[in-house]
Amino acid sequence: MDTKDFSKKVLDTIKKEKIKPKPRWEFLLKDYFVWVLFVLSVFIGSISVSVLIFVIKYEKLFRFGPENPIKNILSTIPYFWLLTLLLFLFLAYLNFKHTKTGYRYNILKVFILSIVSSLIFGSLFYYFGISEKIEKGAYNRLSLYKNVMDGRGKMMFSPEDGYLGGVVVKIEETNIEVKSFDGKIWSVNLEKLDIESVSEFELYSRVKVVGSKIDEDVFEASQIIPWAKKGQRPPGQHLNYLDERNNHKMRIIR
Amino acid sequence: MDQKEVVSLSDEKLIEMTLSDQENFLYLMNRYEKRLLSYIHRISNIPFEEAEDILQEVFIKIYRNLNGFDKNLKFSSWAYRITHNEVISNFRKSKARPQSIDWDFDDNILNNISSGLDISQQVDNQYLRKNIIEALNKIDIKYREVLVLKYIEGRDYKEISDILKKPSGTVGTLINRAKKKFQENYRKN
Repeated sequence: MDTKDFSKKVLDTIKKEKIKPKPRWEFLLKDYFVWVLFVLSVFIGSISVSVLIFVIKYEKLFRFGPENPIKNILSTIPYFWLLTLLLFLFLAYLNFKHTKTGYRYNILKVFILSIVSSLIFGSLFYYFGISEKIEKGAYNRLSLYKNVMDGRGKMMFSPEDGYLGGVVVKIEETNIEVKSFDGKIWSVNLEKLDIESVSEFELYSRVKVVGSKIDEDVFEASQIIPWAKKGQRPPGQHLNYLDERNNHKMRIIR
Repeated sequence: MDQKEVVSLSDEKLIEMTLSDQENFLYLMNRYEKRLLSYIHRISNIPFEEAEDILQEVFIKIYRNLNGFDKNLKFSSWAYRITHNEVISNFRKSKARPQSIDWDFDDNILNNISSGLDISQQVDNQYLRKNIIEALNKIDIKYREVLVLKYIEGRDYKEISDILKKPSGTVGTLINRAKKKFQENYRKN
């Protein structure tokens, strides 16, 4: 077919089918939408980073001993937030690639951009204390997350497996009493502990004790790790610090 | 408008004119019809009528999306991109794959291909053309299209990147792999 005939035929089809150019706002809307999705993905990725920092710092990963260090590490990684981060990094990548010029950047550069953005904003969110609020909100509102964190808590508070968590309610020279989160009072023997570590915590502070269960309510400690700074709440556990003080007779023995 | 006036107008100007008057789209189509039809032929082995159908779809898509044309791109890159996508889409629908393509290129293009793909030219052009065509026909479409864009259409890396919507680095890698595949097939012939 002659060029002019072909072009004419196409134009006739356009007229017959009343085809019109799409309005400019449709394209602008799509462009903005994709960018909004990208920014949102990075934002949620940043939140995941901030809570990851919070949970890891709080639980002081890699300080658990003694028999199965690899198992301990693997079981205490906050997978929920790690998977959330990976998911939103992937979504950020997909959205970026759909922007007008996103195709010009290779996959590695886009991932690095997303990861670095998430790390920077995540660190800022953590610094300003947003991560604790988010973690608490997730615990209170997401049953899946609550189940995961409660499961971790049970792992933490498993004297049979050598982990005890609770509040220090009495301090003596070679012994302390710890009230575990299920309300039981444990006598914790410190004779096998590096004695200098006793000074790292104080009365009514939350601690994690690593060691072994000797008797029904007796525990022998090999490590005592302060859970957090006074006033901070451990992930998954939202107890009122002041309640603990009010409910116990204060007796400090040194 | 006479032919001389139309030739002097840029693609962007013709787009602007089309958006105010539909009839002006004829000028854009006339300008690109032969090129895009050749491109469709060079990356596929679709019968002529089917190629025209694809080209019609391409022009309709171009017309529909005129307001979305990014002025930071060359219009030709954008038009080739839409054409490329339409050919691939057609492959997926019909599940047809080219067996061999009836290539047509002149001596200039032949020289371009020979030097670009490191082929000895110490044979006559007819023999050279036949072997090049056989080698091109045997490689996968994803390699053939970059070779076509680079050595037959004469596009640079940035234009190929814009047409195929791939990073320039990836285009470079594809071209290198395509050259190797081509040379393997060429030597076998």
